[in-house]
Amino acid sequence: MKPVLIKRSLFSLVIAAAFFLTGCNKGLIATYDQYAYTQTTALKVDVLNLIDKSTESYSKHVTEVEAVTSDLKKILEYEKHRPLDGITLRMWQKMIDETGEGGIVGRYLKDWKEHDKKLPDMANEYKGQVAEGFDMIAELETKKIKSSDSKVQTFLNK
Amino acid sequence: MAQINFAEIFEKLKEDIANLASSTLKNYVNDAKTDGLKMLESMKEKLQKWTQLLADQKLTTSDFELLVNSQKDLIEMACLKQAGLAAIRVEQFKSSLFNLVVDTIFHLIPL
Repeated sequence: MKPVLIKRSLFSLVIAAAFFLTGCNKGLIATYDQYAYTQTTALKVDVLNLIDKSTESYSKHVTEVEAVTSDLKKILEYEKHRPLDGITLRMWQKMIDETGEGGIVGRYLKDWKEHDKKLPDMANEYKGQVAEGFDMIAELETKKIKSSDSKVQTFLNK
Repeated sequence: MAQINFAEIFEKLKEDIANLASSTLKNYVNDAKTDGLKMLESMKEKLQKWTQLLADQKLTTSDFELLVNSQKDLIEMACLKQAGLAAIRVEQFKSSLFNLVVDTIFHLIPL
């Protein structure tokens, strides 16, 4: 290739890169987080196990309810501090809120406490709803870009 | 098993949603009506099952409300997930563009 052509190509690329870097390098959504994904799948199992027990008296399971609620609040707090993670945080807030009594899981646990026992069909149906919620959060997390995969990281770190 | 006419209940729900759209969202009636009906269709199977369980007294009315409310939250979560996926696609496009720039420069300049 003639030197003048190389120069022209490079010039165009530098302009494009400069425009790109200054214009939209902030990112729209967090990258994949292995800890968040592992916590999501582990909590799904814990919550579903707890709902299985909701056909029994709430008083027998107070400690477990408190432990699971605390773990859910921890992931909520973790997501709150992940940069660019507003969408996932809002999804978590649909599962449980800061009081522990709102959201899909929070409302169920509160209702269990108020009524002492849940009907088996209710526990069964509700498990499907809860599982769907956790699956959506986990699926979104797995689709996020793995930061270590990209050549961009290598390029930017040079 | 208690006999219920779910088809009739479902038609009534469709009618109510159309009325709700007309009365509350005058400027966006058609969009709201379409969205509302789509939402209703997507939860038809579950609603049918829960209505039957309610009629059979295998669910209490508060259980039924909890289930419907959870469905409302799931619909919102599905919208959030779609928004997240769209953002990821934009990020992937940005990454590809970076890679293109890097690869092209490396190709043009022998290092």
